[in-house]
Amino acid sequence: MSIPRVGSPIDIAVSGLRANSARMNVISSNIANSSTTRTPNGDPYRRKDLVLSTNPGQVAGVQIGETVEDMATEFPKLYEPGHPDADANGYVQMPNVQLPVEMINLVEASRAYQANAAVMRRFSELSDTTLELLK
Amino acid sequence: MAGINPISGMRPPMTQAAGLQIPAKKTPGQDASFGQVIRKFVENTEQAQNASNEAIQDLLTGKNDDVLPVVSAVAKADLSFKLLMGVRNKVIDAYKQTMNMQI
Amino acid sequence: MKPDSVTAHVEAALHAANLRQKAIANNMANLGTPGYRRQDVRFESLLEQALASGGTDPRDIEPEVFQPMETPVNGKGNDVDVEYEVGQMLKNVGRYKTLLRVMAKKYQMMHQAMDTR
Repeated sequence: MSIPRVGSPIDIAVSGLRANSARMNVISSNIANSSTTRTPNGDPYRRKDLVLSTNPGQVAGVQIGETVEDMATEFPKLYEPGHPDADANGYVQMPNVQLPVEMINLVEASRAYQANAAVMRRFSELSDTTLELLK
Repeated sequence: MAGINPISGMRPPMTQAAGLQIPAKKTPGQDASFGQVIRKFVENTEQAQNASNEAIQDLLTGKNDDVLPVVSAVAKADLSFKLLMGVRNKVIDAYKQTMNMQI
Repeated sequence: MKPDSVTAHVEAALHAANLRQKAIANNMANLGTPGYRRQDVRFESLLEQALASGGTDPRDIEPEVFQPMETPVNGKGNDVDVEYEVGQMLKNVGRYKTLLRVMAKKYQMMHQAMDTR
């Protein structure tokens, strides 16, 4: 009986760590720019999302895709006539970032990060237990 | 042909774990010779050693990063070898005792 | 691989794993250094080639430190990823432990062979 080769769980967990770390980067960018009304292209800051992908049917881990902008939600308008970026009617377009949503995403990403770290730790313990057989 | 000794009726767990087989009786009334049993032991031990060396080589060349195949192969070889050594020591003991007998 | 040379190869692999541990520590220390590329140790593939081709004597294979240049660089020209290095370190330590146990077992078996009570 030959034991089939599996991709190392450590590699897969590392891909999970990196993916969640990248997600947290994007989330922190959204939070930091939640009031940025002016970007080089003239619009307010548009909320960003990270695309994650994987190979279906294979035990392969997660791949970090590209950072896309959230085009689905509109820029909310805030009435602030004295603001430098206010339009003719005194409305300012604010970034489409909602802090509660970002905070929830942040908690989820950090929990996932911890879970991946736990996988690595447990797998190391398992290997140590296996090696006990050879004492 | 399963190699089960009809007298004991059951293979002892140690030899079973080491994958050893005690040769079946050739014909009714004729025991498998002790020499044949020893030879089987040695062959099995050598097989186990070869398998363990192969598994170690796979680990060394990076062909297999997994710990389990190496550990299981080496553990089997170790068990098989210990068994062989135990038999060898007993045979030597028996020889010494025989030599010491007053005739 | 000749059976009696397995122990020598395991010892060489242990040296390689030791060297790799130092390379990984170096990578971690240089997390922020601009222009730094991560280091690794080349040994397993060399051993595989030597055994397959039969050209070089496997006992002459030395582990060598090199820069894989396979990982993408960030804005400062640095390609070290903390999570990746931790993963590499865990795998390397696991490998080292396994090799150590295997070698101990080999020596134990030799002791048993020599020990006639």
